[in-house]
Amino acid sequence: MTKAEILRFWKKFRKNKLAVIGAAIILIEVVLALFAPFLVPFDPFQPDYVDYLKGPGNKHLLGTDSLGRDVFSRLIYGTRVSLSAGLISVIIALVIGVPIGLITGYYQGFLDEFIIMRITDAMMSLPSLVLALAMSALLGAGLKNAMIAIGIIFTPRYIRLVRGEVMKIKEVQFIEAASSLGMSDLRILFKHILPNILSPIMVQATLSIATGIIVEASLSYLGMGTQPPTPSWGTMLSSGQGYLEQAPWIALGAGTAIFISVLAFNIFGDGLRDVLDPKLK
Amino acid sequence: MILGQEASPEALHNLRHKLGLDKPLSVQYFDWINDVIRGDLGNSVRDNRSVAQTIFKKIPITLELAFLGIIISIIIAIPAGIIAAVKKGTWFDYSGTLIALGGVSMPSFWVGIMLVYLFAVKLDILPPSGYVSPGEDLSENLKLMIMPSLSLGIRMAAVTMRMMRSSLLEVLQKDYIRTAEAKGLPRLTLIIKHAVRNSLISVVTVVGLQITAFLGGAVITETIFAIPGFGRLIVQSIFNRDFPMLQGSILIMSAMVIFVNILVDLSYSYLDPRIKIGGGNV
Amino acid sequence: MKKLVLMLVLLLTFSLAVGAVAPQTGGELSVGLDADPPMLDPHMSTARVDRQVFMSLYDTLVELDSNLNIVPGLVKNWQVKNDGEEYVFELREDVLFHDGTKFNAEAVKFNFERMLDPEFASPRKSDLDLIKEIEVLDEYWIRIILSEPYVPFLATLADRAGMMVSPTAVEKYGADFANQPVGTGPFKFVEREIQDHITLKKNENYWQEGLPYLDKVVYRPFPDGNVRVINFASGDLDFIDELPPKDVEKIKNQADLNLNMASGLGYQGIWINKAKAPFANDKLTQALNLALNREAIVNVVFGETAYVANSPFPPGTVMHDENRESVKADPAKAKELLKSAGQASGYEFNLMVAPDPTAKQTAQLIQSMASQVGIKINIELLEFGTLVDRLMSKNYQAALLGWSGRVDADGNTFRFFHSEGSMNQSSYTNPEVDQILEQTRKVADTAERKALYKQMMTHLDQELPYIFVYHPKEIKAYKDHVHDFVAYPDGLIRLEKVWVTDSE
Repeated sequence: MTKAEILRFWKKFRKNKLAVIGAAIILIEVVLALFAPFLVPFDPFQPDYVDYLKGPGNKHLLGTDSLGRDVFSRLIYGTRVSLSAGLISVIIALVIGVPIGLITGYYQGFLDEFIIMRITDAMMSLPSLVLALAMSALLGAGLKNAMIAIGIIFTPRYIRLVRGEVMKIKEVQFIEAASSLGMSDLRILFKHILPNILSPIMVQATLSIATGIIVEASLSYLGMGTQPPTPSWGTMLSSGQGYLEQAPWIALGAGTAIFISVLAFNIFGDGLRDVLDPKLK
Repeated sequence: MILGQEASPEALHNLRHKLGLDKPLSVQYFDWINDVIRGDLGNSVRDNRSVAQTIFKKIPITLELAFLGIIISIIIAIPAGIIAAVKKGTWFDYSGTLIALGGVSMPSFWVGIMLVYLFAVKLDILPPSGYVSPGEDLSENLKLMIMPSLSLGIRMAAVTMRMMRSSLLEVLQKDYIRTAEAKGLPRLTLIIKHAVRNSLISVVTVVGLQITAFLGGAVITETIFAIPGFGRLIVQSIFNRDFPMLQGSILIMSAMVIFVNILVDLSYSYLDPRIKIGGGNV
Repeated sequence: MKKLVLMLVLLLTFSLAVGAVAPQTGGELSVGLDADPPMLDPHMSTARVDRQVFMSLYDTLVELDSNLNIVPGLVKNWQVKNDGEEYVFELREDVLFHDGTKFNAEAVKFNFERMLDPEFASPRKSDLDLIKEIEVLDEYWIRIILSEPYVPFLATLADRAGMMVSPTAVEKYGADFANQPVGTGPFKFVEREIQDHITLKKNENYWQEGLPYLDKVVYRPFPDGNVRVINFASGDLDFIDELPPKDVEKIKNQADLNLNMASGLGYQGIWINKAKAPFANDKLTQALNLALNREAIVNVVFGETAYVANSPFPPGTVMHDENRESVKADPAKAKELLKSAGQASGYEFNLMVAPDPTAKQTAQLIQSMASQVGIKINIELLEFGTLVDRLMSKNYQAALLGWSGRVDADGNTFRFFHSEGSMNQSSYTNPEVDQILEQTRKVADTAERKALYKQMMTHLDQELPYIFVYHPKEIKAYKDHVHDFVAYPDGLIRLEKVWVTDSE
C-alpha cells in the first residue's frame, strides 16, 4: 500500500467510531501482552498461602484465586495466551488455506471439485468446537496443539473464500492479458491475483481471530487447551466457576476479559469490512 | 473426587485385549469402518454400552435444548431485526447493532455462567443445573432448561437479528414493494404481509445453518448445566478416550447437519414458490 | 406454675428425643456418587466407586465395625489354626441370595473358585492367591488352607474378596452378571441406566431382623463436584459422597444439611519412577521432598478435610506412628542436596496429574514450591484411565496420584513397595524392604508389626519411591431427614441402618 492509500483508508476508517474503539482495545491488549512482565503488580504464578480467595481490594485490585494468586496479574498474562492463540491459528489457516484456494480456484478441475471441496464440506458441516475437541483429543491437550487444531479448522474457510475470489477475478481482463503475455501462472497468482483479493482475506482473518479466541477459551474451559499454571482466561473461568459463591471475581474477571477482546476484534473486523469491502455488507 | 488407583495390571491388560485395544490404531479404525458399513456403530470401550443406542437416547435431550434455544432466538431476533430495519439509521438501529455484536462476542459458556451467577446464586430463583426428563416432570424440566436455552438462544439471536435486518432492508428496496407503497398500501401491512415473508428466506437459511454452531454450543452448554445430552456425550467420550463413541457421535452429528441442510433447502421452495428443487431455473 | 412449664418443656424435649430414636420404616434415599460405577460384579470391579453400591447389594464374609475391628458377617464364627495357615468358618444358616438361592459352604467355595479361576482373571485373585485348599466340611462349615500364614487374610474378606455372589445367578447370566447382580445384601438390584442411575429396593428377606429401613435406594453419578453439591444443596439428592473441600464451609452454614467427616485409610502424593532419569539419584528426589510445604498445601487446598502425611498409614489407623515427625519444608537443605548431586541449578521433570480441581490445585502448589529450589515441574494433565495406563506401564517420570487405602496396613504397602508387588510402579527394589514386608504378613502381634513398618519407613524416607503429601478425610454430606448414618474410615456408605423421616 502506498502512503496515500493508507491515508485514504484511515480517513474512511476513523469515521466508524465503533471500529476505532475496537482497534484501540486491540492495541492496548497487544501492549499488555508484549510487556506483561513489566506491567503486572504481582507474580501471576506465585501462590499466597495466607491471602487466598481474597476479594478485590487495596492490595489485590481484582482479588486472588483459590491458590492466592493475583487475579489481575493473571488476566494480563492471559492476554498473551488469547491473542497468540487467535493470531497463530489464523496464520496457520492462511498459510495452508490461501495457497490451496489460489491453486484450486485458478485451475479448478477434478481434484478441486471432488476432493478438496468435499473435504472442506465435511469439515464445515461439523461445529468448530467439536472438531477442535476431537483434534486435540488426537494431538493431546496443550496450547500448541489447540492452536494447530483451531488453525486446521479455520483452513476450509480460507480455501473457499480465496477460491471464490480467484474464480471471480480470473476472468477480469488484466489477468487474461497477463496470461496471454506469457506470464507464468505462479507469477500471475501471487503478483496479480493475490494483492487484489487481500481485502476480503484481511476482513475474514480479523473476524477469525475473534472466533479463535472463543474456541481456545472453550478448549481451555474444558481442560483441553492451555495447561496449568499458564494463566489462560478459559482455565481461569472454569476453575472460577467452582467458586461462584465464595469468589465470583475469578470467573467474572476472566469472562469479561474474553468478552471485551472478542468484541473488539468483531467490531474492528466489521469496520474493516465497511471500509475495505463495502459490497460484502 | 479423590482419586485412588484400583485397577491391577492383569485386569487392565485383559480388558484391553478383550476390546481389541492392543491392535494397531489403523487396524482398529478399519475394523470400525467395516462395522459401520454393516450398520453397527460398535460399543463403548468404557462401559461396553451400544454406541448407537446411547446416541439415540441422548439426541432428544439435545433436540429439546435446540428447539427451545431456536424459539428464544426467534422471539428476540425477528422483532428486533424488523425494528432495526424499519428504523434504519436511528438510535434503535445502532444500539441493536451493538447489542447484536455483543451477543456474538459472548461465548455461550460465559453467558451460561453469568446466568447461573445471577439467577441461581444471587437471586436463587432457578435451579443451577441438572436435568429432568419432560415426561417425568414437565415444569421442573422447563425450569432447568431456561438458562441453558437462553445462553444458546442469545448468541443465535444476535446473528439472526442481523440477518433479518439486512434482508428486510434489501426487500424494502425492491421495486414491487416501492410500487405497493406508491399505491398507498399502509406501511405496516406492507412490511408484515409482504416484505417480512420474503426476507424470511434468508432468515430460515441462517437459522438452519446455525444448527452447526448450535451443536457446538451444546457441547459447552450441556457441560455447564450438567445436561446429559449429545454434546456432553461427545465431551465425555473425548475425556475417556472412548473412540468408538466419539467416532459414532461425529458420524451421527454430521448426518444431522446434512439432514438439516436438506430441510433448509426444502423450506425455500415453500417460502419462495419460484424456487423448485431440482428444477430447471438454476 | 413455673415448675409446671419447666416440666412440660422437659417432657416435650424428652418425648422429641425418644421420637427421634425410633427408626421409621419406608421411604427412599437418593445418593450422589462421584462417578458412575463401571462394574457391579465385586469379583471384577476395579473402581472404588463400585464399592459404594456393593455395600448395599452384597454382604461380606466378615465385617468391620466403625473402629475397623473385624466382626462376624456371613461368617458367624471363625478359628485360626496352624500358625495362621488354616481358617475354619462357621456360616450363618439363615441367609438367602436375592434370587432365593441358599447361602452355604458350597456357595462360598463357588465364590472363591470363581475369583481364583485364571480364565476369569479376577482382580481379586492376587488377594486370595495364597489359598491352597478349600474344603466344605458340612453345609455351613468350611475350611480354607493357605500355603503360608497371611495376617491380612480376614481384612481382605471384609472387602470385595469376601463379597458373596449367587452361584445360580452367575451360571444363569454368565458374563452379563454385572448387569443383573444378585447378592445377599440389604437391597436388591432393580434397574440401571448407565451414566444416569442405579435403583435398588429393599430385600424383604434380609437376614438381619427388621433391616433395612429404607424401601428404595437410588444412586446417581455426578462426576463434577460442583454439580454434585448443587444437586444436593438445592436439588433432590439426600446424600452425597466426596464433598469437595471448598464446599465444606457452605454446607456447614446451611442448617438443614449435615456434614460427616471421618479420617480415611488412604494417602495422596507423588509416585516417583526410579527407573527413569532424573530419579535414579535419590538426592534429587530428597530435594523435591524437602521443597514441599505440606502444611501450606493442606491449608490452602483442603483446610480441615485432610491431614499432612508422612507415611502410608493415616492417623487413626493401627499402624500410624504418633511419634513420627512430618517433613518440614527446608529449601536451603534442598538446594544443598541438589548441589551435592552435581545439579546445583536444579532439574526438570513431567508430573502426570488427573484433571480434577483439587488435584490441579495441589499440582500447581507443588510446582510453585519446587520452583523455589530450582526444580522445574511440567504438569501433564491426563484423563484418569490414560494416567493409570501409563503409570502401570512405567511410562512416566512422576505422577500425582494416591491410594484409597485398605483396612490392613499390608494393603497400603506390599503391592507398591515390594519388588514383586503387583503395583510396584516406581520400579522400587530393596531386598531389606522386601524382607520386612514379607515378615509383616506373618506377624500377628501389633507392636511387632508396627516396629517392622517403622523399619521399612527408614528405607522409604531415604529412597523415596513415593512422596507422601496428605491423607484425605472421608467427607459425606446428607440432609436433615436422613438418620443414623455412621461414618467408617473406609469411606463406604452402609445404608442398612439408615432411615428417613418425611422430608416434605
